[in-house]
Amino acid sequence: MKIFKPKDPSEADLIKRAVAGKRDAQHLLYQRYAGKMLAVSKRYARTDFEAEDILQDSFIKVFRYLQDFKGDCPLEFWVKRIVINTALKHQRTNRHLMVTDQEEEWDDVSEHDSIDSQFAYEELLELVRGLPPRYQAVFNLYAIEGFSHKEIGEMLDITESTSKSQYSRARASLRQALLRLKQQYHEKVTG
Amino acid sequence: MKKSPADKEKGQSVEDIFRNGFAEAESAPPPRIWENVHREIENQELHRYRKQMIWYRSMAAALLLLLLSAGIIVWQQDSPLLVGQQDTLASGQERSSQKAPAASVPNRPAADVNLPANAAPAIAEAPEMAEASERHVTPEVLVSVPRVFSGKQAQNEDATGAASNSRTYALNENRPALSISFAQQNPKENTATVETLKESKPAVELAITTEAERPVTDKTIQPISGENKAFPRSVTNNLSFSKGLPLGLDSLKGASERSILVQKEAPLTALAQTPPPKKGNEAEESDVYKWSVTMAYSPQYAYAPVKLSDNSAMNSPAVGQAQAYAQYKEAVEEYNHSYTPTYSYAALVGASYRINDKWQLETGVLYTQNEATTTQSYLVYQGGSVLSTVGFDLGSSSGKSAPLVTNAFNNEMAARAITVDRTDRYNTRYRYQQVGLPVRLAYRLNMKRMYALFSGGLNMNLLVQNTIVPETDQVEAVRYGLNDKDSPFRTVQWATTTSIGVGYDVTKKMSILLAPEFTYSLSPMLREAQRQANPYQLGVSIGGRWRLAK
Repeated sequence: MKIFKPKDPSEADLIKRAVAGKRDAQHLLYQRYAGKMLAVSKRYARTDFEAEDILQDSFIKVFRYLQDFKGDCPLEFWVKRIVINTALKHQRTNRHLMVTDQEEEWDDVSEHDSIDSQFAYEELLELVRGLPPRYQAVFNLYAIEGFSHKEIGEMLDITESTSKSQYSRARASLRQALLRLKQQYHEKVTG
Repeated sequence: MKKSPADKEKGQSVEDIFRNGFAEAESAPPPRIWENVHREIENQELHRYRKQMIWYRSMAAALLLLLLSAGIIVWQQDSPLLVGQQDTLASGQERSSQKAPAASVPNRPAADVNLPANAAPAIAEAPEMAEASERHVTPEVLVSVPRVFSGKQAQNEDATGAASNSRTYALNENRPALSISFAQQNPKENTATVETLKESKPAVELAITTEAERPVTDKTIQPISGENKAFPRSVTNNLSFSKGLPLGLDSLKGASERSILVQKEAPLTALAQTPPPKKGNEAEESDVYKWSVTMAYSPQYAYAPVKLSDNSAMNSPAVGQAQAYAQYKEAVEEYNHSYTPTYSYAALVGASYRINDKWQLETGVLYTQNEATTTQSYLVYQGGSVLSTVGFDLGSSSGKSAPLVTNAFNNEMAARAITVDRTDRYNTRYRYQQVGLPVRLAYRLNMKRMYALFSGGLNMNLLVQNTIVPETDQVEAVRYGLNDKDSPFRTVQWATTTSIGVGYDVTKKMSILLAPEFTYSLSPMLREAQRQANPYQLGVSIGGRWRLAK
């Protein structure tokens, strides 16, 4: 196994001190990754409030299990994985209370319709959050994090084909939403 | 929407758009998140520290107990020297004031001291002597005689003397006979005898009570009893050498070579060689110790989580708001994850019946106190219409929330609307107090003074009290008594228990036992069928056994 050596030597030192229970080191690590991780958790959460809960639980876990961090990947990846797992757990816990909208029947959007606009982060976040919870998770895991459908199936306790079909639906939904956004933008510009 | 020209990025896929859009995205977290994380880390450290402290304290207590036991063992092994002598002297004094034979001290030693060395074998061979030794001296005592000669001898012989009052001789009757017989052999030594005895007090004591070694002629010695032949007090006072004697062992060293100490060895060695008592005695002895009293204390780890599941109250139709439901679920998860057993213990007072050398049956009264804690950050209310800051119904008539377990397992409450609110983290303590009746069968494997004890059996426990005490004013404390109808817990609970222990016989009647034990619950803790983990307890029983007469 290839052992990852952090470029910034101070990170290794920070980890060591954080494991030793030094509060200042823990705070520095938190400050270093909290912003990025909140953005990650927002993608999986339905609300900002839930995203903050996910972040809080994630960092509690990070500091609880930091001593088990072997250094075989960048710390950021390790923390991100914890955030994702925590978010999925939150989702599982809250599955019963999710008010799942009736699945929309999406129109077939031709792949030839090009989406060539740039969208704001908030707009994209809004679109992802608008997906049904299961689709939201599958889309995030496949399109953004880069997991395979097999891995996603294991993580979400669904079959690989289910993951594929849910991803396909999510993708179609998002594509349609993006085109709608593009059209609105175009209408605004043209007057 | 960004106002970028549409033609800047042509032909992007959906994945690219989102991947690029989310890349390097950051959101500033509110400061309260770090505060909460920080507080939680501190709580965890405190909790870990407390657990360690409890463990260390238990270890220290066990170690202390072991040291204490070891001290008792050492003391018990060493003490016969001193105790024997003290007993002899004291009892000698007591008897001297009560009965005439005690006052005969100076005479008998005088007679014994003046005996020629070659008289010893003759004494040992004397039929009366052999008879006396068989009757009154146990093999253990005799074997130990050469090692701790003076003390043991004094003790043993004292016991022998006490056991056979009929063999006590009157001083005024045997003195002349003895004096005459020895004066013929060595008049000088005879006159010096009293001086010698004054110096060698333990020797005096040996002489006081030794019956078997008195080679006095039967003609001159007649048995008397203390009741019918009281010794004159004036004579007693004059002759009582043992009065006010120091009890130091070193007084033995001063004994003359020709004193009784040297001469006693021969008869006692002869006594040591006497055959062991008959089988009948052994059987009799084993009958005597069939019952024992047992007391034990077991610090233990009690794993008895009462897990909340999806079958809980929040599935009822009374719950309306999805967000409140979400929070309730979080509260349940938080409860389940934070449920941690804390310091628990069991104390047993029991009786043990020895079926045979190997097997014994044990029962008694077992008190168990199991404790656990949870850390929560939600408040759960029943009914009410107070609106919280987050827009949910808050508050009950008492203004306090109920513990989550109470909500989850109380059907009446489940039918009512439940509202949930977030608050600062707080701990809740759960205490289960049980009184039980254990019945165990034990197998004992003897290894000299040590023994191994394997036992297994059944416990019937009554949950006499259950308390749920939150460490916050916002949640009500709850207490369920014995057979409380509102209690979600079963009153009668069954468990199997097994242990393997090592014991040590400190004395013939007392032993200590150290036994790791495992108790596994056969019945669920909750009244209603719930999917719960089986409770179990792991402990180390530290206790003592005292054998009782039949």
